[in-house]
Amino acid sequence: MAELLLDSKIRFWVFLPLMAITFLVGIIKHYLFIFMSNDKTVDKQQLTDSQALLRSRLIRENGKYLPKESFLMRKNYFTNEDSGFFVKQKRQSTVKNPMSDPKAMTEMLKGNFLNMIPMVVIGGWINWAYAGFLCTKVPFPLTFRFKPMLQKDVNLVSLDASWVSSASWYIINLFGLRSMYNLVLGENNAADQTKAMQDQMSGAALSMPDDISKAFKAENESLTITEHKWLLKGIEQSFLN
Amino acid sequence: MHSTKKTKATLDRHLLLPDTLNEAAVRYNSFLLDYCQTSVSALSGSAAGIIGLTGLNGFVFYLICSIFLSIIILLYLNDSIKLYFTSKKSIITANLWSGIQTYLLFWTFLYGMVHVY
Repeated sequence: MAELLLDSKIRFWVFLPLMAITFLVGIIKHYLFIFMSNDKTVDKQQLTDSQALLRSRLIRENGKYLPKESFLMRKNYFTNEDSGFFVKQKRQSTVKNPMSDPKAMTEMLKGNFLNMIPMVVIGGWINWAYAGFLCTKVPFPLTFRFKPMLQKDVNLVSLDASWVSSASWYIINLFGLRSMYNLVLGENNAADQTKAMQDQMSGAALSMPDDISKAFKAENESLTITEHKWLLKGIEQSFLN
Repeated sequence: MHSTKKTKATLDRHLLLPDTLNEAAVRYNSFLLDYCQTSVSALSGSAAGIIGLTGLNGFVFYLICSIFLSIIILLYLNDSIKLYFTSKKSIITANLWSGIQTYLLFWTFLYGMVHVY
């Protein structure tokens, strides 16, 4: 197979800049996000509710380290049929229509805005400015299946599949630099959207469940069926031995 | 002295059961692990690109590097693994996939810079 000879100017004017642009755009995005996002204000009611849920979860998980009496007292405070916290508190559904809340809408707009700009504008600009170059060659053989992935804007049937075009090099960078952002910007960076989603999943104390009364009901049930199991049985003996 | 140590050990065994782990600490530890793995992937990728490894050699090189890293971490932690991680296996396998993305990128990048043109 004949080797292609690429103009070495491509290296300095296409190949290198593409990587630099992708990386720097990610960093700019991170700092723009910090700059634009103002502190979320949480009202007192919501905070109380989510802290109660958190506390109940802790009791369920770590209740085995409490004496039985203490555990039952706490459980009773939350789940008593007449006066329990979860039973007594009646909250109206807090699922708000984001359209009716201008504050939520601005936040949403900002988030979308920051995602859209790099994707559409930068992506479009790169497609326009750097289209049609063969940039590099991946150092391993690939099958023809990969041709549309790696040679996005170069339609040459006879070309070996391991050559990479400029548009595809941009996309490869977009995905490959993800963990580099973690390295450079720290754990909770805004350059990488997947991380932000994971953070929401892991449930920090301030993240609100959508429907608080539903969450109360669920937590009430799971706390009610939790039995106390004293884990520190015989701890005095093991201390003395 | 000896007895207090012993007591502490028994206490530890009692209190450090897997479900009493501090979630934030666990996440931070796995983040640090990720940090190491990413650095090693990037560096080994650059090395592979500059040397000019191609094909299977490159992937074998990645595996060797990441296993080497895992062994170093295991040796470094020695007995205290249980204090920081839930399982030994997770140290080795945790970031193999996200690492290979970084590795491929840097491998391709430096291979392109040095050998293609």
